[in-house]
Amino acid sequence: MVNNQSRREQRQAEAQREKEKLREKQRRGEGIGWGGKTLREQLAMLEDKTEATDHYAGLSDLSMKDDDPIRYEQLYSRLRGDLVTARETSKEVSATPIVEQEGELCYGLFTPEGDSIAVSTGIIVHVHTMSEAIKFMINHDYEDNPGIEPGDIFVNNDPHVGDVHPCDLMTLIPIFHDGELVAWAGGVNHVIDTGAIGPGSMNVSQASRFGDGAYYTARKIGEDFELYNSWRKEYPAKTRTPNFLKLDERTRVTGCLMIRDSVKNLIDQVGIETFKQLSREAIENGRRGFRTRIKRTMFPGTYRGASFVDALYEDQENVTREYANENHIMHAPSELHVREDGTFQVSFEGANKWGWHPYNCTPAAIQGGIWVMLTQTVIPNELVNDGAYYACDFHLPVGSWANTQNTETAHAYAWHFLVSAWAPLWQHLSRGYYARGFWEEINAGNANTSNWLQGGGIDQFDKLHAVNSFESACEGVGARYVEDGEPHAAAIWNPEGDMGDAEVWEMTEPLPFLGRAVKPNTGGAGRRAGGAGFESMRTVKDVSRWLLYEMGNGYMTSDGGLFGGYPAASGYILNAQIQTSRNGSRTRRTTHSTILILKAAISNPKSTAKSIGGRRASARPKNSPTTTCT
Amino acid sequence: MSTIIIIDSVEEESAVEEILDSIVTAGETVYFLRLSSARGLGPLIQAINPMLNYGVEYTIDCLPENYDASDLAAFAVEVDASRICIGISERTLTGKARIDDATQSILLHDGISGDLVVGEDAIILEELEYGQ
Repeated sequence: MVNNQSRREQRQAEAQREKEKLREKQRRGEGIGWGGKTLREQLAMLEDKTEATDHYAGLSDLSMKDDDPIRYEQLYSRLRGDLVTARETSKEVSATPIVEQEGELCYGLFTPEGDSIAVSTGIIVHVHTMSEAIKFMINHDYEDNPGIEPGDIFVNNDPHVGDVHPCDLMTLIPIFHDGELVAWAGGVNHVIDTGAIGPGSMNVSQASRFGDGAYYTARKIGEDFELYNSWRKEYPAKTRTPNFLKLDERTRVTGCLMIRDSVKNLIDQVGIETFKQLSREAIENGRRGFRTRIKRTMFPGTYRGASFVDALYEDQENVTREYANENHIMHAPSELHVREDGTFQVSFEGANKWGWHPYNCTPAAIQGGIWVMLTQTVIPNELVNDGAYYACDFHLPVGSWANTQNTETAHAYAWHFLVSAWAPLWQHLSRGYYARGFWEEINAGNANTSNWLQGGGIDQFDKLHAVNSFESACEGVGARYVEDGEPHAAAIWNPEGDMGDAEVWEMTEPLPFLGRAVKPNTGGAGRRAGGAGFESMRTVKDVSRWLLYEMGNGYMTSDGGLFGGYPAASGYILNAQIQTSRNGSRTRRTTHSTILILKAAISNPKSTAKSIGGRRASARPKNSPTTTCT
Repeated sequence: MSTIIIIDSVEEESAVEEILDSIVTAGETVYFLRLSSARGLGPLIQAINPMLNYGVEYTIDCLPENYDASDLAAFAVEVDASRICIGISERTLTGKARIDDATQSILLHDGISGDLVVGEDAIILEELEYGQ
């Protein structure tokens, strides 16, 4: 405690000293950027130089890396290692299995302009969503108002600013040296509940953003490394799970402070100019590395594919607006243009319109989505950073589900469309690998990680609670060209697939497991099958009021198979309900038990089951949609 | 050749474009010198993209709030500027350029001399020579 107190005081004293230097610069009319520039000037120059020279920040030579490659690798590895350490340490602060078990957490170290230098492991879709949030603050003159100063803490979860969906809360902390902003530390984790119209992190009954839950649009929430009292009072009141969110925030702040300490130590040891050069070169190196990899593994040309996924709302009783009472099919026509110089353009031209459902995406979500895919395909190493972003172009038609440009649209479960839309990208890459002879790298595609179990009410401790099972992080991997896919081990959105211990889920959810097992023969038929999924059977226990719902898979498969292989299965859910009536007799009901046979997989329409009061049992067999290669 | 462009407002986009279009040639260095009245040149640079659109190298510097012409002259000497340009911020009722205080102080400074050229939106002091 004494040590913690002194460390906190030490940080606050550092922040005060930095602020005095900052004030001195401001009195001279200088900004907080490098060389007295304002942050927006620095960003504008960076963008101009990068675009004009086709090198990040105009860096045509990697002088530091070329002159002393070993030292460069040592410094970069140290930064990256410290980010991973921050994640592994801080996730133990969290009390939610989502973070502690599944690792739904990641950190990034960013340049003052918001480009990621290095990232931790974890949900690194947010490598770029945090970038967008920082750039938003810069472009909206946060330097002037509310100010960006040493010790400040910012939060964001607004997808239109930089996020996939609002349940991913991010914390951003600026890092100063001698009154100059030298970097940002950022962390994101998936929280249990954001106060949406229904319980759980990704509610699906709302038609617009106004049912998505609380949006915090790039807000300053603290200074001198202390959260504002107003913030401490506000956000817990906007969720069904205040204590979990408080611990999640401590998790993110802990990790960001660890990263800040790491950067400060590095600067003390190697000097600020070396750190600045390292941060620039790391991104340019990432950009070059990506292009080199694409040139080596992909055949130049245009790769085309398409994916579809459905969202069934017609006659659903829980739809919040009459005009949202319709079924949707998402269409993602996907074109990948690979040029001889390794440039990589992804186009969703032809994508259909956004809708009154929470599956819409923003450009930050789509762009961020490429990182989780790339780390599992093209760059399966520690070199992923925003250099890859600078090596890619995206064409996302305005007004489509992929780029709504409409602040009324809902985004709570953007992943439903995002995961499905990325499915053909795996196949584009695999066709390139095939053409180049990298057959071992071929993968038929990612599973659609839907069929989430969510809900909430009054839990076994008689408290308001919400649940969000993350077992979906353990779907089967798509079939490979040389062997079957890995069973129950993957999710596109988290490269470290893990379903978490049943006992830990049971500590926080009133849903004891009756069983959990590998589900055989769910990987499809063919020469190479996808990895098998899993099934869980859970029951609801000791609740006085509880709502359960599943969302995600409908009738359609979003993954079409590769080289003539069978398509992925869609999921199925079976809800059995035993309810005690007032006179003590028991009724048994099975909902939505339609079974469709699709090759080796069994599918079922999206089912929604509700129960308020009484007792019920919910059986939820589950399979993993995977694809096959022949 | 190098050029100083003095900017006291991010609204001076047309002046900067005129200078980059007709005065400066690609490959030259431009020093954007921001007065304290212009909080930052970010929006201006984002609109113009000097390197991408005009092929110039450039830096952004700022003058302190209570600067005088000597500070500017010292900066010009330091970077060995060939030209100093400033946007026309005041005009007569008939639309002619009016020499504002900042421009006048530069023109009257003993340490700097050159040829004065008045453009549509900018005043240029070129062929600079520096006194003692």
